[in-house]
Amino acid sequence: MSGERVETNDLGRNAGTAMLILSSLAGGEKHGYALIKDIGTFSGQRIAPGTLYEALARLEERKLIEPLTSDDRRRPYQLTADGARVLTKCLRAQRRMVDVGLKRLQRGWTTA
Amino acid sequence: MVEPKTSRRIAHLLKWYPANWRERYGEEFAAVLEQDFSETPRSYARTFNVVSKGLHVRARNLASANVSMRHVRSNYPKSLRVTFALVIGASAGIVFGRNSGDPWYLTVIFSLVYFEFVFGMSMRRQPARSLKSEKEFSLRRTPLTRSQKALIGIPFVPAIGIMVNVLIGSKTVTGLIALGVLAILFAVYFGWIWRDPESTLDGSLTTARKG
Repeated sequence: MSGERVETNDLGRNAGTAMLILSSLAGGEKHGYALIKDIGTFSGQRIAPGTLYEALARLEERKLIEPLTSDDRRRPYQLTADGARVLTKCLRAQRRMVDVGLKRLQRGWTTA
Repeated sequence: MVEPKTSRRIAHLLKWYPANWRERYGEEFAAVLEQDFSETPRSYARTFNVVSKGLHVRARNLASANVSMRHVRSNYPKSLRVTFALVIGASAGIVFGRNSGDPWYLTVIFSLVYFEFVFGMSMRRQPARSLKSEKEFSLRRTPLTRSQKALIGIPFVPAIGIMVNVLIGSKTVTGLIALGVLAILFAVYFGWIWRDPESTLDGSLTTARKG
């Protein structure tokens, strides 16, 4: 359990938003509004602009993402190697949690 | 093409963020907000989100710079400081006094905890977290010692919440007079009327590191 906690801590507070952003960028570089749209499509969650940019700044500070040069005001971001590594660790930890939860449900509960 | 009114609203929203953050992210953040405004012209949730995140960024900036309460007050533009504190006080008074019917002391606890969270706790814990030597401790302790006057003023914020509660509940002249007195005390605390003679701050964080 403690190992999983450490992995989640890699993304700090608001790990959920950070994971959504990293997962979106894993599919390719995107600017702010494209991130909001993509995350809405694959997760069903709408990230507010303030939340997005607070998380982007934090991820860039930790060098998990990096900005790309752009002539446009809309600056795109891409995942770094560190970002990909941390995202992989977090997703694996979540998959373990999901697997455990589903197995326990199968044993003790009838699901529709 | 963005309407001038929308541009003005976005510019106002960006003012909640510190200058260094605006310099780095301001343009692209404004571009995202423009697109968001074009989809949803009016959204209180968006305004609240942008404002609250701006305050978080400011609090993080100040916490990482290890500054005193005096510097916190100086770093926030006066109008934002007053507006923010009034909103907290009034919201606390309305929520706890009017709607829930909870006792008045909850107003005090709510306002105090929130105010402490945003402005105080991270900065006061910073030196204890990062102590390395006695010399460093003495350097870092100095701004904290100096900030005592500011800390004394913290109860003014929940006090305004209580007064809003009193005004809504009783609508008496006594309540109005009490609110006036508290408003003056509050203005003094935020440097509206009285300014700390030692203060030579221009809103930048550089003087904070002198210790």
